[in-house]
Order: sequence, then structure tokens, then C-alpha cells
Amino acid sequence: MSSSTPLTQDRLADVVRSGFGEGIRVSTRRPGRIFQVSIPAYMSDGDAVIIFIEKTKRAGVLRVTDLAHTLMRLTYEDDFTDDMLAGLEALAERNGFSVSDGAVQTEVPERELLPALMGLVQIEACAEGVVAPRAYRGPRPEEFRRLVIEALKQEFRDRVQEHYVPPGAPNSDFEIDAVVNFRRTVAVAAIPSDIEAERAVGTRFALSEKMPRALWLAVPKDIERLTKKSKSRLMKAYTIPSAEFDPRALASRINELAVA
Amino acid sequence: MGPSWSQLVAVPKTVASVRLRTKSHPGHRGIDVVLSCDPGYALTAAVRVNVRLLESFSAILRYEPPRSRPLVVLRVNGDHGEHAVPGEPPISGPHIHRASPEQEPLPLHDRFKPKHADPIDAKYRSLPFAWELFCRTVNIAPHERLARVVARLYNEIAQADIDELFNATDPG
Repeated sequence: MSSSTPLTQDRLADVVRSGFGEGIRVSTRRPGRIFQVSIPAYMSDGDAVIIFIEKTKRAGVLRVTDLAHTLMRLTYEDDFTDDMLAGLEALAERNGFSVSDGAVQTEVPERELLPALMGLVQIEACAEGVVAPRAYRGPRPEEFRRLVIEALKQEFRDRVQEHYVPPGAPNSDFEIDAVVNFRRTVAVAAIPSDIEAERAVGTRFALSEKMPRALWLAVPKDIERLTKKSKSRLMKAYTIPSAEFDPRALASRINELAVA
Repeated sequence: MGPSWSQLVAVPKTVASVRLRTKSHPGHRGIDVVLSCDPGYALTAAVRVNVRLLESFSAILRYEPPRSRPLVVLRVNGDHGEHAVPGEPPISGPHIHRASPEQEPLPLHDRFKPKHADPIDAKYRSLPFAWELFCRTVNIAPHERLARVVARLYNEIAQADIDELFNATDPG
């Protein structure tokens, strides 16, 4: 194949099939510039590995790239982090690729196209199994929740029960961050973010019947950082001891409620 | 036992975050919003769009179990290529990732992935249409501002795609 021949879908299909057989398809994504190679290799959710061949400005040299799909897929479950990108870069380098603007890629002469395609398949498969678990930093609100529970334990010691699910709760989702057991139970929800506010409101309503005498207290990290809607729902469902987390205000409010 | 896949999909949802978080990451753009629902589950909706191929995107319903890793419940995908449904020929083009009919009534386990996929009409290669379908499918009440943000994101990437087409030079 001469490097001066125009890059076409049929021409690429011939090269790819010569190595992989008839189960391979090449389709045009952007005429003359971007082509997709479909091979029967799939990720854990059933999507095929994503491989593109892109024209470069150097004659006879092609770019084998994922067009940043691997990184994009990693953010479906987890937030994008620098660790995620660093993990992908390390994996790409081990396989002779680099990461540029999120895309795992390498540039090769046409005769080296097939090994490069295989390399990209390997990177995509490994990224899911290796990069994603390593980049995962654990449940996001856990640090703030820990602070609140520690503050409660310092003040109320054995009266505190963490991660409380009352008997008969509809399901394990409706877990209270901590309860402080007095004559009446004080249920405490730590609220570092909007999603935790929504979770807490849901828990409050789901458990109302199971804990009819409980007093419900929410501890926002900073109530002004919540959206208007979540803030309003939270304030309707819970007593808020202070706008920002303040261990003394929290203890004082619980003591007031406990003797009331 | 946590909620079932069907419960998470069917529960009526509204957009809680009036402050939308649009994200600019290497190679793709995204939007994340927190959802409200009663009974309350920790659910977010997210959009991810590839900046080089605007027809390749995902609209995602994500569930965050207490103190556990987030799980994708359902995804509406644009056209990223093929998807394999076990025991059937691969499908191409837009599709919805969901639980299989057998999984739907079961509580989500911590390694759940929506592997099953149904093909959808080719018009859902366009994100604004797919977003509308996504909201209908997972029962999110219409939110005009969010729909406009999604459309704007898509249009910006479409414009960049057109610019790239006109700037492309033939090295040969």
C-alpha cells in the first residue's frame, strides 16, 4: 500500500482484515479524517472497545486513538480526578502510547497499524479494571460524616450509635448517620453536600413512622453552599443547630432537645 | 437490602441543583446535577459528551448507596459504536443501557452494571433529543433551564466540529 494513496474506509478495512480476519469492520466517522475500527472485543457493560484511526499531517503515518473515550467512560461512575488521569497515563506509557488532551494515542507507520490497534484494545480493557479502582477515593462524604460522629462521641460517648437502621426500615438505604439515645432518640444527619441533603430528607420521611418520637437534627458543613431547593427541603425536615458545623453548638442543641 | 433497579428508575425525580455543575475535562465535557425524589435516594443525573465526536455521549442515572461506590443505573448512549447483548448479534448506534428483565425487580448489588441494551431510534444520535428521552425514561420532571444547558453544550461542540472540518487541510 503506497503512503500517497488517499486514506479511505476500504483501504483501511483491507489492512485491518489482513491481520484480524473478517470479523472486523471499519466505518467512516469523519470522511477522510476519522475512521472507527469495530472488533469483537467488549467492555464489562457490553460496549465494544473504542478504536479510531485518524489521519495525521505526516504522509504514511496514522494515529491510533480512543479519542478520549477511555477517560470519559471512567467518569461515568466516579468524578474525574488527577489520579485517574495519572493512572491512565502510566498505563498508556507501559503500552507504548501517550495521553494527549485525554486521548490515549500513538502515531505509527501504516505497516505497524495492527500491533498498535491491539495495544489500544489492551489499554482500554485494563483501564476499566486497574485505573478505575485505584482512582476511587472512597465515598465522598465520609470524611465530614466522620468529623460529626467523632464530635458526638466526645460529648455523648456510649449514647451514640453510628449508622443506625431502625428495625422495619424499608431498606438499608435509609440509614441514619448517628443516633444519640436519650429518653427520646436524637437522629443526626451529616450534610456535606446537596446529594447528602437529599438523602437525609428521604431518610427522614421514610423512617418517620418507624421512629415517631425521634428528634431530627441535620448538621450541614455549610448550609449556604447547598442549593436553594435542597436547603429548603432540609430545613423543613430537620432542626439545624448552626449554619456551619460547630461541635459546641451541636452538643448544646442536643442537650436542649434531650431534656425538653 | 437496598432499592431495586425498578424502584430507582421509576421514582419521580426533580432537579435539585439549581446551580448546575458543568465540567470541562480533557477530551470531554460534562454536566452533573443532584436529583430530589420521595422516597429519597441519593441519585444524580450526568451528561458526558466527547468533544471530537459529538454523537458519542452518555446521559447517566447514577445512584450512590450509603458509604459505597456510585453505581450507574441506566445510560442513554449516543453513537459510540457497537454494543453486544449476550446471545444476540451486536447492535450499533444509539441505545439504552439498562438492567435485564430478570434484574429489574432485584436490589442493586455493588458490582451492578447495566449490561443489557435496547437499540433506539437514530434521531437519538443528537444529545438534546436523547436528553429528553433520558428524562422521560427515568422520570425526571421537565426542567427547561437544564434542557437549554444541555442543548448549548451540544451546540458548542457541534460548532467546534464544523470548524475542524473547515480547517482540515489535506497533507497529501
